[in-house]
Amino acid sequence: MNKQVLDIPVLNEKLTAELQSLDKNPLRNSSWKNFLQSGFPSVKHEEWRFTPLENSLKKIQKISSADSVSLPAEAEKIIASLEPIDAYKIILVNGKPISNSVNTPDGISLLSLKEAQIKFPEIISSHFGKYLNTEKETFNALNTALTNDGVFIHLKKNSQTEKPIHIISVHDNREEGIYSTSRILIIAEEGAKAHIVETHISTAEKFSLQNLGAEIIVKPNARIEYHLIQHFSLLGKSEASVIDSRQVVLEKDSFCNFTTVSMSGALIRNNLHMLFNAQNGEGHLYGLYLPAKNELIDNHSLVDHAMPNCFSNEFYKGIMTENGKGVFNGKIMVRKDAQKTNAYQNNRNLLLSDDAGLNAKPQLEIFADDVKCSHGATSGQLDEDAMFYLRARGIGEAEAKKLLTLAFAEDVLVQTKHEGLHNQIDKWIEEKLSV
Amino acid sequence: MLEIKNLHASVNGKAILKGITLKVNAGEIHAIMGPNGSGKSTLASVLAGKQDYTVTDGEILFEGKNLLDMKIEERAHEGIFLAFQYPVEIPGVSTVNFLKTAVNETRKAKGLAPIEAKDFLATMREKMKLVEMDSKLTSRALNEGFSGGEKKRNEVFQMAMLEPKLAILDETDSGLDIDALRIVAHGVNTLRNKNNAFIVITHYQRLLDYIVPDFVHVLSNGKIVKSGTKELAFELEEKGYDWVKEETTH
Repeated sequence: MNKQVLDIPVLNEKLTAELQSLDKNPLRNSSWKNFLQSGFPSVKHEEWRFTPLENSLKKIQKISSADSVSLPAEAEKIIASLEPIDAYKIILVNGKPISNSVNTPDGISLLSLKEAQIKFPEIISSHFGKYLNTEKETFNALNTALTNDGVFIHLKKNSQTEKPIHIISVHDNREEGIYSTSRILIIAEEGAKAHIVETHISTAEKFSLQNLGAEIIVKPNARIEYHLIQHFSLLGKSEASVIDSRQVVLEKDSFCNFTTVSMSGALIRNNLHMLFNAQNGEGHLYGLYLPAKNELIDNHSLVDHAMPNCFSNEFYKGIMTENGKGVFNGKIMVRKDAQKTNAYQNNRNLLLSDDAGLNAKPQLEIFADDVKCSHGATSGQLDEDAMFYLRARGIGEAEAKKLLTLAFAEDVLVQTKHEGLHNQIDKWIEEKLSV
Repeated sequence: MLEIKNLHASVNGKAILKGITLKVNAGEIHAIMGPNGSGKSTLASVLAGKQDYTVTDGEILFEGKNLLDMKIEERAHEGIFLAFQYPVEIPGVSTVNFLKTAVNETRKAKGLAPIEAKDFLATMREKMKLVEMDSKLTSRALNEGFSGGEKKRNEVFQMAMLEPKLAILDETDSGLDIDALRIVAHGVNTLRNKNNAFIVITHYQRLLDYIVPDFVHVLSNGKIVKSGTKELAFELEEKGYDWVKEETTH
């Protein structure tokens, strides 16, 4: 073991015990070996420099069991009010769906992964685990090794939904130190169209850690609008944490708009990877993160242009309050075959307190010669002239700050294109700023 | 209504206002003229409470209360309004939402309940007519992408909505064509009554053809060097500011 690795013997024992209790399969076994080889990264690891995991990992006491789950009463009330209210909903508790299937129109399947293994064995075997990298990414390896259920969404050729699909993921942290595994597989076949919302909430204030792995395959001409929302402190300050790794694969002429809104959580790490696997793909990555007291939100994205004539646009905004810490690490890779690539990246940050912090690292790696790429990162305070203007009209300092901060978030939120969601997030931001 | 006594103010240690004394009564319009750099806009900013300026001496009383002790928003609640020379563009804040917040915060300060939505809309429609403002502008982000004329009309529109006791117009005429100037002046003249007052800051006499002042003051090098009636403005237009400067240095 090299020095980039954290050694937490108690946790290793628990994980080993957990794996032995699961049935053996080759992917799981190879993933487990990969994990054992790489272990958990320390802050000496380049990709984890600003996101120390040690204290969190040490708090893990129990691996969430694979048995059937029921919905905690604490979560019910929140779920009833979550936008989009009118949606096809699947609810997970610590990564495990509370029901095996959800009624959806023809062409749309919304199932537990377990159920999907029975109903769609070919699709599962040709897609599951084929996209998330389990060799280089240790959390993917661990996730794949421990996955035994999750969410499966299949959109048949040319299908589309009137209503959004809503994945509601409840992190049950009423007990201290729960570690859970969550897995999502989404396949949009040729020409399919869908709006998917995924909301993560927690039930209590205690520490928990979820390792989430998601594979989202967008076949030729398919279009996916995706909104990932992480808000663990809806019932009061929560120490729920998540390491969220996603691989989006865009095939020919496909489109994906992926928006990540990280409202609250003790530690949130989003590894969003988007691969342009064929020509003419269009991908948008929008992000909004609001770390407040004792919160760390880290967005590590990779936009991988492997093929020519694709367009990507990444736009992330951070609002840091109290001693909240934000990390933005955005890498654009343009491989040598990816001529005529257009790739843009922009990261803007608002530091609303002297104790707030931010580390931004934009990275461009370009191996093709005929491309248009740009990136930029800024951080600053609220505009003083704008503050003066608002206050000179009688708007108090706190209210003026709120207005300007909401305005700052607006050009990301406008991407939700869903009034209910947009208003809900506006309201959350106002609440968060009022604390 | 307003009493400025021996006001001295500086920015970054540099003295800009060097002893201004001015009294404005309800029902009056005062014009403040002067060359560039004479301190006209500084005076407007100090009245509104801009924090870049330090008052080093003197006092300002507004209806007997010490204005300099008040926060920016408190001055607005008391009835002071500054029409900005360069209105700030604020992307992401809609004009309607901004105005509603401004109206309600002022009402809250006076112990009044928030305005009813339909009353607010009716008032807004009425006041927009006054400055011939396109209703599309109010649904757009505040001043964002507005032309120079639209921004100035928006200032007068906001003034009409907030109904201040004392309005300070800081070079509202700059960058306006003659039609826009007429519209802005019409707005001010309509709002004018015996209970409110205006301080009109301008570089040129032109605006004063449309907004007729009761008094004209000439500001030079941080001091009021000459005061008179509207005829003083004509004289300035004819002879230029050097005339005043020369006359006062002799």
